[in-house]
Amino acid sequence: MTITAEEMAPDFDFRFVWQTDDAEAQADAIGYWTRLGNLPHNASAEERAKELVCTVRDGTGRLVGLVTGRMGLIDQVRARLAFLRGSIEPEHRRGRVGFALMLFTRAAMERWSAEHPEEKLAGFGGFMEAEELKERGRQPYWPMTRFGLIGYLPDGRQIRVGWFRDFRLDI
Amino acid sequence: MNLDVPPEQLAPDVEFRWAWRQGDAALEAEAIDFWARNGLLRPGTDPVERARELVVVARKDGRTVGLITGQVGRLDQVRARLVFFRGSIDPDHRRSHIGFVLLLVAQRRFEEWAAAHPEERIAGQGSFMESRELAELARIACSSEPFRLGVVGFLPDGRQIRVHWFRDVHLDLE
Repeated sequence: MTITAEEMAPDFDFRFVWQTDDAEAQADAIGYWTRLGNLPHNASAEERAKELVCTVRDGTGRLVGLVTGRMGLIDQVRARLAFLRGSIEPEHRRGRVGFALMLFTRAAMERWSAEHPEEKLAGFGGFMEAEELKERGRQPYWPMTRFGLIGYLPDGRQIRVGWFRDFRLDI
Repeated sequence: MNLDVPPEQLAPDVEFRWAWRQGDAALEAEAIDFWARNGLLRPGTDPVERARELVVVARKDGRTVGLITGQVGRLDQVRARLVFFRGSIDPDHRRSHIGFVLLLVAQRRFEEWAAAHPEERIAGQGSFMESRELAELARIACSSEPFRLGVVGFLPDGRQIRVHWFRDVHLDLE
């Protein structure tokens, strides 16, 4: 079964802004973090805004969620991966928009990687607190996001990778 | 090739016999003969022991043309028990689709077996990619469905470690 973000949350506007230097989106993101007070104290909103990957707005045009990302190497699999952070406004956390934003981001980044082979971006990486994930942390593979367990950090967090379709590694 | 149908339908002229823990002496003897006839076992491998690990045997026109054996072991880096397959194909059938279908059959049937035997706690299929013939396949970070064998790491000798997680498996968190 394949479902798109737009089908899942048709009243919302999803945008991919990765590496577009979209000043309006960045300013909105800074306003969003300021409004919610959800950036760590030591994080620079301006710097974080440059890492914007996707935004989602409600029917009025208000930013209600976003995803930022950084690219990095996981030595264990010798591949370059995108590490994402997501945030959704509290009032939308029980709805579908958060999951739809994740699906949208996944599809958009996968397309971007295919269009930019020189970046050698092989998929998504994530470090997950198994305790926080509870039952989901016990499932080694998540079909909807294609995130699979590949190992553990010394502090017990799970390392998960979602490989992009047909990505070719340098051997 | 339509991968939505049961894999056995992809090779209707081949009979796939489930052998895992069946203690089928005739099938084991046939496997030993198959390895000897084709010189497929490495020196030092005990064919009798290996035959006890049979998972699926592919037979065509009454003869074994391929088989898969399995060993269950723990992969420490993912803290899970996995089955590791080894495949042998009759040299005359190596460029045919039989090996491909045989692996699909083994994977699907073993997953069903693991689901029916939760006490075995087998969470997926592991693989160490070593064959030079698989060099191009080894570049694909995660083979497409239904194989879905994704890279999880490397052995010190450079071989890839890949895992296909079974669906609906729940790990014991340590």
